[in-house]
Amino acid sequence: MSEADAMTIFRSTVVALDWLVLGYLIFYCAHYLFQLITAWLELREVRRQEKQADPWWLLTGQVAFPISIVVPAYNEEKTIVDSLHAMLALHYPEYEVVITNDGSKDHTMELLTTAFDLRPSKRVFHKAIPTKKVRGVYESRRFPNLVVVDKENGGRSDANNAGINVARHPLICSTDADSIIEPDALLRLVRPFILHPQEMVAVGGKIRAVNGCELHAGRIKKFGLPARPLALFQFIEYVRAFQMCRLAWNNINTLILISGAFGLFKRDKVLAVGGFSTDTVGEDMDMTMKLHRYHHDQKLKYRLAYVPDAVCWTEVPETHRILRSQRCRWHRGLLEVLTKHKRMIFNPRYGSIGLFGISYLFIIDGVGPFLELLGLFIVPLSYAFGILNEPFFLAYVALLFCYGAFVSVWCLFLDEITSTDRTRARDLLILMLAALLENFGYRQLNGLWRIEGTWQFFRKQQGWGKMTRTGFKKSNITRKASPRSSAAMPAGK
Amino acid sequence: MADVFLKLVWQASSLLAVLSVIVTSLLVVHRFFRNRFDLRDTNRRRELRRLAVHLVNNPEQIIEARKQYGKSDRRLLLGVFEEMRKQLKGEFAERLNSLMRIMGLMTECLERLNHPIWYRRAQAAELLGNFNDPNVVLALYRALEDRRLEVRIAAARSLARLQSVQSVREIVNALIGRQTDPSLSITEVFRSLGAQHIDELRELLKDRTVPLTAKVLAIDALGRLGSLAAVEELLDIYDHSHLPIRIAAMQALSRLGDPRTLSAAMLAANDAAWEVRAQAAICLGRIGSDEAVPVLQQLLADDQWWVRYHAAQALYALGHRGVLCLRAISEEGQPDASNMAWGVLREKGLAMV
Repeated sequence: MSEADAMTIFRSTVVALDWLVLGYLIFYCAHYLFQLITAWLELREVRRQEKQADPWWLLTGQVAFPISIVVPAYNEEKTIVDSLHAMLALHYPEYEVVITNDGSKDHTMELLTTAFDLRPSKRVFHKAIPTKKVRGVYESRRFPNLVVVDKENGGRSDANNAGINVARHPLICSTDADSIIEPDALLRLVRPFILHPQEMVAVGGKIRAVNGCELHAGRIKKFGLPARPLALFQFIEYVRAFQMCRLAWNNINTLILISGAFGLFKRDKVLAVGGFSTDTVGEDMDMTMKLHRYHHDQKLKYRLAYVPDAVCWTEVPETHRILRSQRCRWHRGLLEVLTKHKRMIFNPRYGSIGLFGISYLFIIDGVGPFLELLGLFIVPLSYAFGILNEPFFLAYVALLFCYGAFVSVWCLFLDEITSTDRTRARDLLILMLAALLENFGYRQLNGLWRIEGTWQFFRKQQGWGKMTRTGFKKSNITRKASPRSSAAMPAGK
Repeated sequence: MADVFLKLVWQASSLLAVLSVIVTSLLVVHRFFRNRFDLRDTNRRRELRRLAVHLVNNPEQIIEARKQYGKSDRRLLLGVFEEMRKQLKGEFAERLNSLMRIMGLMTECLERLNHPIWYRRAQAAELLGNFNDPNVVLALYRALEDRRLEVRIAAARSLARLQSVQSVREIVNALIGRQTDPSLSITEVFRSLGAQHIDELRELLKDRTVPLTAKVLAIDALGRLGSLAAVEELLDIYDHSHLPIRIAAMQALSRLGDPRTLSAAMLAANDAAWEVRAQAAICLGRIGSDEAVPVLQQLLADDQWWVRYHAAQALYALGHRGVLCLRAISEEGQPDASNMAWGVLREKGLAMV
């Protein structure tokens, strides 16, 4: 082969790769446009449902299903007491809080015992899901609806499963020990179960970043924006994930993730799929997929729903190190779930979840980061060496940056028209600017972390990473986010 | 061709970005004014609420005070009314209704029943449940024919609250249709129908043309209304081929706790569905007859944990004989049964450790 032939082949390969990257970007943008329009349509209906909903009726009407809030806790001594007090003060007619101390190495258990006046419980429970050894079950003398399970360390899923075993109510609300559930959020979250009591299987709520907000007695006193840029960018990501992606998926009954940070599940269905899987760090996405798979396999009618006005606040990482660890773990979890449920990908037998939901995850989140990273190198170099012409380069840059900004800004628009917070105009301006800026650097960084996550996945790296907690402050949040908390992976970012 | 396409892509994307910047600016301005309006509304609403509370305590001043409410207050007043109506009971609730009627809110709600947006119609139907007036009842009956189920449910709920439901069948026709998974709001409407409709509900159970879903709701309502007159109809239907009917019937019979149910509950203990067996155990515990002990003993060895649990609880509820049975099983029963018997005895503080 002559040098000229080799050059031609090289050139053709580069051009083909360039077009592959551009094709992916066009698909990506078209998909986002579709989601944006679908989310808009869904939002109109959801807003009307919200306006018509009457939490007071649910509180007094004796039809609301009793709920068990299951909270795994591992080394949570800094926040556990405040968090639990807030959970015990939620507005809901009948609920219990089952907190599982997952073999904490700090003083979590001692603090719980003292603060809630615990004594051994004689509650009969069914070990429906195998878990690590339960050392004891305790009940509070002061709060009859509080149960504490003390068990050997087995990870978040194992702790969740132990809590589900002990729980008595038909609905299980999964949350994190450091999350703040809004006082009426359970009343809102249960709404789909009231509308479709037989078919509804699981419902997810909205997660928002608490950084920058003022807290009082475990509740949001004043809304505020995160001070640090990293947290601000994540704020936008959460808005995009929950205000666009979830709403759009909800519209076609294809929810791909009910967040473990705030999700409501039918207990019997969770048991039917064997509880939360202990072999993945993406246990909430895995649970969602298992529920889809189970109902399709059994040919059962079912629904999953997302309720945007049921809000749970969680802290997002503010430092590069913790954020990186979290994002790598999330991506590892995603790949684990994709591997476990590979049979569903592009499989029409699984309906819209097989054809669109999980396939979308595979393309956008599984393969996408590699193509994005490839594009960042290959397109500018091709343009510099004259392999590509100007329109191609401009189209690439416009899709990468302009379109990203467009999507983020319109998600904020959707959030703004539904928001009940009194966001200041200045805060909104900051958010809008952040939505434009996140496309320059932050998004690319995220792509790199995903590739690192992929590397960790192939090296079979396990675990959740190291915990970092500094505790609630009464009127301001300065805690560092836990790399272990599920903190609502905004799937389909 | 490719260049035209690429040019189109970058121009369209740039246009969208520019549009985003314009929207951003508009949104910020919108937010600024919205916050001001919201603040003004909140303050006015607070004033209106204060005035409403004053007038509820001093009803003689209502006519005079009407002058203090402007036309623009209507929207806020509806919200205040909605909020306060839930918190007030008895005489004070009546006074609030009078106040709101004088303020013209009843007429406003009647007009809103024709609003093009469905949730406004539903909201109006809900609020009208506070005004016992022939015109309101007529309008609510018309709302039972609304194209949105939510409006029909709100109208039915209001009619039930006003004790103005003339025929349960009309409610069935308006709310059930072909639904197989009806909202719990509909369940609640049936439950709130009141004792005067017990005979009609019993009739529904006998009628073959009534949808099964409606029968399930009627059974649930009969159980909640606590009418022993319904026991015979429930005993006729407890072994129906439709599972939700069997479960609902056993639940209703458990609530009623009538001794005539004993043999039916003992038969239901052998049902193929564990939900029915669990309900049968609860029912047997509620009836409290020693004759149920062998059946409960058998249920204590059931495959399903919840059936075993309810059987053990039922045995405990039977008293001395049941506890003796639990003790015996805990010492030398089949492992699952023995564990459950011991667990429940322990829970009740009766286990010998």
